[in-house]
Amino acid sequence: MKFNSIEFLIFLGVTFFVLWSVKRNLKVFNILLLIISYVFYAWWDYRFLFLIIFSSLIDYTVGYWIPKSQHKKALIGISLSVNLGLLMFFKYANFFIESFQDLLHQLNLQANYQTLSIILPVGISFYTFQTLSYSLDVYKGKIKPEKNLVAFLNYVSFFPQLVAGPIERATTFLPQFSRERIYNYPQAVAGLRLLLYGFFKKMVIADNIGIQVDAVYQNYDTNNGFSLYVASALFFVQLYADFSAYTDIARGVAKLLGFELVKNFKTPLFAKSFPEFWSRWHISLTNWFRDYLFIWLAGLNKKSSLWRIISTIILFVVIGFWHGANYTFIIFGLIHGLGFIPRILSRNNKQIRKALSFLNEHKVASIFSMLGTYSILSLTAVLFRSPNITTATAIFRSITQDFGSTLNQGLLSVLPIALGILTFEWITRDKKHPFYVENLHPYVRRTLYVVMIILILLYGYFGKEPFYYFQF
Amino acid sequence: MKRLVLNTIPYVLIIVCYGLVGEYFLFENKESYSIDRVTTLQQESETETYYCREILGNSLSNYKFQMLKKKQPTGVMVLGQSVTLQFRDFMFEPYQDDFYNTGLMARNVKDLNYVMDLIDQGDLNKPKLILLGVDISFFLEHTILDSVEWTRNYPEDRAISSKSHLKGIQRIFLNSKYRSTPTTNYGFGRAGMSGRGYRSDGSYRHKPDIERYLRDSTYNDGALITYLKNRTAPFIEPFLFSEQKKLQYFEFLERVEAMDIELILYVPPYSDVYFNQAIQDTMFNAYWKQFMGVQQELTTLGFNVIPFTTPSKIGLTDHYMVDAEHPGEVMCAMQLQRAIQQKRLEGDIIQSLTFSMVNEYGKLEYVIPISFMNDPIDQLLVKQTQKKV
Repeated sequence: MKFNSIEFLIFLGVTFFVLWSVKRNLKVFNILLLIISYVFYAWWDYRFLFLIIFSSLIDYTVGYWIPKSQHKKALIGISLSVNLGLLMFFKYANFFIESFQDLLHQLNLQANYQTLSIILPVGISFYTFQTLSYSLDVYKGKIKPEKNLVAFLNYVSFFPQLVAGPIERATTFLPQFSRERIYNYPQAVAGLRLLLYGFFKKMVIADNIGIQVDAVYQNYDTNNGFSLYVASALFFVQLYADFSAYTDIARGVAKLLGFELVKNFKTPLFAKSFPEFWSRWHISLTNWFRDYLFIWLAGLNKKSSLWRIISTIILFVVIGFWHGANYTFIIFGLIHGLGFIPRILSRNNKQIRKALSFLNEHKVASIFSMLGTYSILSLTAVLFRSPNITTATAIFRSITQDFGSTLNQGLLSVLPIALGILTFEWITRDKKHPFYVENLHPYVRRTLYVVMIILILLYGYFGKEPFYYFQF
Repeated sequence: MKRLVLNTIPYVLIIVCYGLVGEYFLFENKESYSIDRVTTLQQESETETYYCREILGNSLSNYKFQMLKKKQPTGVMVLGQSVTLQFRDFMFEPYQDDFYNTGLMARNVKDLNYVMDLIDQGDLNKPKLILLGVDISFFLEHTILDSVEWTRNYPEDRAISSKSHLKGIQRIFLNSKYRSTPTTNYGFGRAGMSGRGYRSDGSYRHKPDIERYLRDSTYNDGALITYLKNRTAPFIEPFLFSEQKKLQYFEFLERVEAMDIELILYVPPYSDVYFNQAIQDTMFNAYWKQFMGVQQELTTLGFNVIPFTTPSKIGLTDHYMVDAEHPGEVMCAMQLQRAIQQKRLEGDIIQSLTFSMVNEYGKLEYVIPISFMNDPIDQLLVKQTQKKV
């Protein structure tokens, strides 16, 4: 069930009233919430429901036994092997088969391995990391094991964030299932506001830009470099509007049900450097990898800058690979990892530190840093958007060798939409949350809601466009 | 919670009002009539009615398939793409009441085979005669028409799809044209109401082209030559002939023959204006030679073939074409009748076709090159004009 569907709105309405009608009985509330989450997931593909239940039960059991067991490492090994094994199988098996086959061909060896006919379970990259973080935190002694199975199952499968995050942590999210449920009007209103903003960003901005970007990318051989570059720059706006819309809707739904989810974005398109970009983009994923991979990796040789650079590059290659089984994502991650080198070097070099702080803090220089960062991000967007390396190479060739001066008319038509969202985000960049309108006069605020609803109805895309991150 | 509900109601009302207004216009334009309802009403209607939606979209292979299942012809079935849509029931007299033109339902060889599967299984009646359009797209190595099995996996009826309704309502609010209801009521869907669309026999009435001809006797070749020059659909490169698909097509023909169904293969014409230019194009020319090879092979193998022609080759003008690639109904009838009269088509059923209605309609004073003008609503147009061929 997609968020941007009538079925979901009906589902949400029913869920809201059903759950709050049993607010006095936490046990019943949690059981109903679990059933609702499983129904939501089964709507995509009921077969994979067993997978998520299986993953959850493994981590619940591992978490339960870790404090009591002498074989903690073996137990965490089971959790890692099962979870990452399932992820590897469903997401990466064909990639490895094909890559191995290619390697054998390069070595002039005969190989004929059949790729597997595998469907990627929706949300597997997200819930796997969420359930894993629980086991890892129990293993590290950061949290105590959760005894309440229903609460734990809810933690893994909470439907608003099940399919595309944000990836929650047991430390902050799991306790919410044990708290008394108190209906809170301001929280519910904030939730509805986020829902409205999310639907607006997805249906009016992301999808309309996406149609034009898709048209250019599908005909990349007939578009000049200028159009391809602008399409790539717009793609980043589309991706941001799309993914942050999902997060807003997820957070909004959670608020309506009395839960709080972490923020996943902080106006990333205005980042002045790659490190800043990653501290603002898909924050829950970056933090996950930082806490569970990078800190361990970098800690192997804390004094060496070179090792820190290598660790960072490994980290971003893994983040790239997390997005999909494709070399394009690996190179995307590699380039982003390289973007951290100046900051790493600045730790031991005063001049670089000074230069970076000038680029970040000087009024004019910071604008150029922002534009420069966005320009390079747009180039890396080619890798993110292209279906394979061959297409990406052809697009880079067009951008460098056949730039041209005419811009695709379709792209021109959606430029105002992109500029509109960027302007709004710029104005509200320092506010508490992305759609900060609480300070407006109630009449102005209500008028704004009405205008947004009308714009969604008149210009929203009601086709079959799923959220972009669903494919990961 | 009551406060939240009360504060939300005004916004919900805006959405509800928007939806209700939109649904009113969809209903007034008969766009929200489901295919099931349309096919039933078309079958029951004593006068000719037309089906064509302008706002929601036709879900065409769905419509054609539902109508075929309801009609279950045992006489004549027409299969093919849009080029076959002008073959009408009365051209196949005495089987005019046992006829259905499925044009645009089966879009590739898989679809054709699926129709035969249904006949084999007894889900569809076996027709005595099939007229099959030999479309160039059947032999294209790469074509978007192969992406779906249009008949087996026919599209959802847009009249019962909430997303289609939302998109349709957007169109109604953004385009004032859709807010005016047609003044006539000849069918279902906005276009159908005005007399353009699919008749109950499956053929298509080209209302604007008929009206244009009556107005100024002109012919419009359309943009096909521009598509060819720009290599846009249906001429997307690589525009290659597929031997494998030819094989599949021939296997299908053998299957039809084995089922003891008489078969007429109709190679559709092109207008002279278009063909004379297109044949100069190297890409088209290369494909065309191979396509004509298929026609030759079919003739050699003894199939009943109505061969490719342009209007001038059979003593007509491009005025007999609806556009560059679509022959008008008069030309279709003439091609069929001549082929039978010249003993180029064999078969008991084929030989039993009488053409008395065609001859009768052909003698009518107001026949125009692209239409016999024999639909009841044509009489209104006839009264408005004195033009005749």
